[in-house]
Amino acid sequence: MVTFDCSASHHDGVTLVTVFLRDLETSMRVTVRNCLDGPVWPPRTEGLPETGWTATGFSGVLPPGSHALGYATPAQPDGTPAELADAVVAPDATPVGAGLDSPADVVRELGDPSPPADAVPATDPSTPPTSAETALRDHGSRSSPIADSDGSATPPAPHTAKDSGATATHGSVTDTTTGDYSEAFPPELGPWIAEMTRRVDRAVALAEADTVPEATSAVREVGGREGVQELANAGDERQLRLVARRASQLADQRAAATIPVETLTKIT
Amino acid sequence: MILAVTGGKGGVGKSTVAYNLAAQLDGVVVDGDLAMADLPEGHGPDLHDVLAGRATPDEAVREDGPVTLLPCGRTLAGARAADPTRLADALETIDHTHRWVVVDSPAGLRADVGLPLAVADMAVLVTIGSTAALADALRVRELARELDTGLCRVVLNRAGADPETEAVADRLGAPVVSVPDSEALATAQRHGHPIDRTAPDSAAAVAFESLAAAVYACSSV
Repeated sequence: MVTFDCSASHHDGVTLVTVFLRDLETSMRVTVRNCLDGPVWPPRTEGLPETGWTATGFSGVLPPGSHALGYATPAQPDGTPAELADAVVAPDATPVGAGLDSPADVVRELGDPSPPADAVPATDPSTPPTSAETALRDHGSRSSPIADSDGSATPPAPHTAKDSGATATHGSVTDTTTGDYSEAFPPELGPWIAEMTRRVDRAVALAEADTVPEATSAVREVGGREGVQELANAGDERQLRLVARRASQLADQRAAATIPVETLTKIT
Repeated sequence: MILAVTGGKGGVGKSTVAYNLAAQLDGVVVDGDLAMADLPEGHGPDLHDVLAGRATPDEAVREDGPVTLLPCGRTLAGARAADPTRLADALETIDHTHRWVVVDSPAGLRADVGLPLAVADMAVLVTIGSTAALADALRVRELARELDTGLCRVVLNRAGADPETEAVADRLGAPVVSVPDSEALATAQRHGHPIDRTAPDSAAAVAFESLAAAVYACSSV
């Protein structure tokens, strides 16, 4: 029927697991489950996991013969690294990787068309904002369905809203950080706010990624490992709080200063 | 009905054919060139936003121009943030609300060419008469075959007075519609207008009419 054995080796903090499935007499649907205490890092082509790999291991139809499966994990190699959870005969099923059935198959076969990370200019204020950012910036100055739908498509980051609830004492600050863009930002500030919104969204996506595909997508969004490092060290929170504090102080001072318009106009 | 306008070589007129065909069919044209968009820009969310999960396909469709359009962003950062595997779902979503979805594919043979072909009901192959363009068209023809996408018509663009339509049809395995070289067509495209609005009686406009009729006929087979 099928012979299963597996081994693991540990190099530089990564455990490499090798699984052998030998002597399949016919096509079989097999499920191999990772037993180590860590996520499965599957083999990839063009940045996408090979067909059949899931968060817990491999599940798919293999043709007759002998096969090797391999994956990596950051977990320590304690005990049996993997187990054959299921193996049923499936003579009529199409083996994995036999066709271009899914969009992921097409990308793996033909190549990821995305420009390389090095070709993307580093984030700086001179970078033209994306259309979503433009819409966000312009949101207050137009009330078309375009702007409304775009605003809802880029909801404010939950962390931002939570933090503002805990620290903000002034309505104006809370308004701008909970997504109620009822008033337009000053034109000088709009691009910066849009940029910060984008960066916070990306940071949240990185923080909340629970699965490997989510994490991969989030890392890709920021332009790879360098992008992650850059985002982590950029001090965005400090800058945002600094601006918020200063804006609050100025707003308080401004609120306390009542301009005697009538009296002054009489003088001049 | 999803129609992929493809061709392999760059600069053969895929965008012009896609735009004018969508105008004739009263459909929506999708600028599928994620890294080097050609069709007119739009305000608001675009295909990059859709493929990055920031907007729904319907939100990104613009109906305020001469041709209903799903524009594509122009930035490399946007192209990199876009997940190309979402393209199939996006096109199918638009297909639910529009009778015709015409995808303007990029040049080359990478996944951004294969993905629209994989999801399309049929394809129109655009080429010019040069050997290099025909060789690339043959490669895309093979890819379409691999992805089980039927080829409805070949467009022989910028054709001269006596185009070799039969030889091209023979090589590529589908009937040929030739579109004459036309300054009026190039000018209309530059200004974001379909030729049937600016020069409805021109030979190019008539060619797109007959292409649209052929596409209709393919769809009802």
